[in-house]
Amino acid sequence: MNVQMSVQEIRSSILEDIEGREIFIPESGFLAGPIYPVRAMVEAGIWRKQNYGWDNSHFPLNYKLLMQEGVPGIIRRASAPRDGLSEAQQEYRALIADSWRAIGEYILRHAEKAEALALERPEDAARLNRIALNCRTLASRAPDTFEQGVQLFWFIWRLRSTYTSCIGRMDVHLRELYERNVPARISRDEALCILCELWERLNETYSGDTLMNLMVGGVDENGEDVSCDLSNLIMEATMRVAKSEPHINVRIHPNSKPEFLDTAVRMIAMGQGQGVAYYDDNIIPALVNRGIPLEMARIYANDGCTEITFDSHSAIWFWQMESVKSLELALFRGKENPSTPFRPYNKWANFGRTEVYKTRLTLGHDSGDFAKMTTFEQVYEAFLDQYGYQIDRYMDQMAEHIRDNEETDKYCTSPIAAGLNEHALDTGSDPIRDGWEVKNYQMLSGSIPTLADCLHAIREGVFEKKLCTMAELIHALSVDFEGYEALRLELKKLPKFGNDEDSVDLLAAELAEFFCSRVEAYPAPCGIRPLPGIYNIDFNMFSGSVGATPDGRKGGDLICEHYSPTPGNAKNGPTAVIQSAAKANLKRGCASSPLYLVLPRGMGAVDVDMIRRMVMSCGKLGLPIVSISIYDKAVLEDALVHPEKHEDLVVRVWGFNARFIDLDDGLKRHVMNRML
Amino acid sequence: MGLVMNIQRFSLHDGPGVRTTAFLMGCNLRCRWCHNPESWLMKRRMMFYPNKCIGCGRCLSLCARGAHVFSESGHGMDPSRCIGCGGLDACVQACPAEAMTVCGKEYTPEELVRQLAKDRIFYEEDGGVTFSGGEVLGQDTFLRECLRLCKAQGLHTCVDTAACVDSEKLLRVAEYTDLFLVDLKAMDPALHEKLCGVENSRTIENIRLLGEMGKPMWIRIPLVRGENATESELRAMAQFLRGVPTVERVDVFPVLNHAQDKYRALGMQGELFNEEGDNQELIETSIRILEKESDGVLNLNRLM
Repeated sequence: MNVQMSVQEIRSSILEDIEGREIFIPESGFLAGPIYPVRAMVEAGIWRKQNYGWDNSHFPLNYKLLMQEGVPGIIRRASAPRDGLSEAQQEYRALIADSWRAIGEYILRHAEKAEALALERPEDAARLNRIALNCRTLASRAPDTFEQGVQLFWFIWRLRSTYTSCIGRMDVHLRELYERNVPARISRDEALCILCELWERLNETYSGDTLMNLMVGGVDENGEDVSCDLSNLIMEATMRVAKSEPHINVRIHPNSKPEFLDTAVRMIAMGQGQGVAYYDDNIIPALVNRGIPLEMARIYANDGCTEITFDSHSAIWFWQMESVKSLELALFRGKENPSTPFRPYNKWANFGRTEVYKTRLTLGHDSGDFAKMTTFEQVYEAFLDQYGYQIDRYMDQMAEHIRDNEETDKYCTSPIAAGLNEHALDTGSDPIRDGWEVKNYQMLSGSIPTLADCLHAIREGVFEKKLCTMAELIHALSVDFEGYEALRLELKKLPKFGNDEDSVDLLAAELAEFFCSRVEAYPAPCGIRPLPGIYNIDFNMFSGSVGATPDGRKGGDLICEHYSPTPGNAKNGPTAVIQSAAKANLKRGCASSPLYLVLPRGMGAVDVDMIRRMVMSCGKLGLPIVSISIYDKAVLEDALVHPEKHEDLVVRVWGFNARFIDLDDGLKRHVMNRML
Repeated sequence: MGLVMNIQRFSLHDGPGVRTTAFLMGCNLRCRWCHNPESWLMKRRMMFYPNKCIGCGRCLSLCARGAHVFSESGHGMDPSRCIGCGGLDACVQACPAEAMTVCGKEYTPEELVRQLAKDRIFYEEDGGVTFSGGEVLGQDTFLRECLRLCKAQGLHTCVDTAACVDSEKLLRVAEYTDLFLVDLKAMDPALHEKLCGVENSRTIENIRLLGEMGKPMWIRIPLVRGENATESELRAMAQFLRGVPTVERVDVFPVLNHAQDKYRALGMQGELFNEEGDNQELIETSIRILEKESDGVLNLNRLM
């Protein structure tokens, strides 16, 4: 949310909002605090915009600091006398302190309600008093127990956003409390039950594109492995609950502990897309190469989707370029294909508002008359002119936003987020301008494999096999191949990305390199160097608003996600897909350049060992991020017809897991067609 | 040069671990349930899928012999009129809809092994390369060279064969083969001939020979209800296999009817097997018989 509010506006809004929040003691379990289920609120039309200031919820807060300080500690730090602060800084610190006081009182009210209920219901008094004790403790000091830590996380996570938000490195944040308590005060099984209750609560909140990404494993700022028993327990809770939330991501490096890897592979082998693999050796050096300090690079986590953040030390802003649409604008001399269908879409879910996506590229840039071009080199050069132009315009937008963030006080960060930023706590400076150690701006361009399929089709189809002229091709595209079915099928027959064919794979690699180079070459706004990434979350939206393309795709049909093959095009199995992707230097797209693989469940010998080989081989081949899902196509087909029978069918979409039956129809097709 | 039907990467059923399988053309058996009927002949085969045809008529204008016929019922093809012009590629290349494809591609051993080694990073110690068919030993000279090249690169090798060939062919490739996957379809020679077109004495002899040579084997038994999946056949198999010391594992699976599209594309009529009854039960019953008769010696494995 890019909410522009003044400190005064935020103050009155947040204090009133927290004061008026429901006090909720559950009928079973121990987690106090209301759920506010997002889908029910959307469907009932009672969506309430949260006016706490800026926080896009895509980045993890410093929950480790929260566990160390507790709510009272945050208030103390924000209230401690400091010399030399400006009036604005003092005002902002006071806002943080008062907001967190309101949070403390909110937690205390839960304790009071639980105590009152315990008196009314002696048969349930033990449980209710346990809740009361937890809440009373949290209102007065930092958590003592693992259970209190989880309770505190739930309160703050739910208060942060009316929607939901990123979680981050939970095994790092809660490790100290866990190891202090397990097994000395509670058993491992009890700790597992505590996590499972939190998982259930998260699932009741929402399912799907919820930003609830949680990362386990990896290294600390000194390069030491951080995986611990809590990391394994988090994955075990995920396997036990077997629902879409939270979305688990796994950092893998040469010193990852065997039991950590074993648990991760077992989780991935469940097939729900849980356990997206991030390879430290392919990510950390690339981040350093792009100017991120080594200590920061080492503590990366993913954001609400798949992009890199710096856990507790950065926010994130990202822009998504439309690469395939850039080709359309090139071929039509700065205009859109006249037969573009503008297929309506829901961003991901099959409920809520249906929209038609309008391109955010800049219309009107003419890269030449492609109909008259006589060589592929001319076509390619002219396309790069258009693509480069569009990248630059997107970079202009980013630069303007960076200047807004850096040089104006247009945006004021939510005091909940700022309360977990040490610099803001101590200085009263807004973290946007002066608080995050890494200024994390990202320019993303996914769907490059579809773009490469298109350009290769021009090279081989038009200029080598002479299936048609450029003029005929452009005309065929302009009428969505009506009357050109034979040509369309000829174009579809040509080599496509994902089959380990150098002709098209190397072209894709070159395009990815071009994009990254162009982003890197853009003059750093305010000295900030944005990170490039070969990634897009909005491929479903984009595909509905891209007309017919030279790869034989009809207007509105699927384009690919990230750096994965166009759905339906990979014919040689998963190893060929991996080899195709590995030909690109995806490390350079260090913001996020994932490969998504979907294996069919019915292949028989897909077992844990097979998944282990695949996961480890991807890392050796230099891929930075890989998601592996395993589905039974017959089950997915049945779920289209009988959704009521498949409410527990969880699939991976882009940066999240979701119930298949909840997906927008376009995404359902996408998930089914990307199966290898 | 060898004639190769197909190369399948990430193959999980043709030996241990992750493998790449090369299916070679040519077969001396005619198993009635065969899943690869396009591999039978030692020559390239045209496969025709009329349901994919969009009626563009390009093939019609190419063919001087009238092999293609367009009528109200659609696109028909008369294989007897096809003389395979352009090595069959003329029609295939002209067809935008892939209604016609050609099965069979020539490779030198070096070219084939280069393809097979592409996924070596996924093989680790037990995975590798499998040569299957058709009857892979029908191209034993080519196969031997491919295997030699694989071993020179340190790749684990499997040969998947019905072993119904002269022993000398088997001996030629054994030196470079780490594991044999051998089909055992029936013990009774008459039944074997009924099911596969030839009797089985060479298969029996070769399995015994591989055992004597100390060559590891996985035996594969395709079950056909009412034919080889009988108590007497399975008992005979168990008695025979328990005496072969290098049989590491026995895979048991029901014959399924997955290749009907291929038969139609070749202008043939495929037979249907195991249509009636529960195939899981078929496996379990067969396993029980094999287990009992071998006194638990055989390492039995269900493939479904």
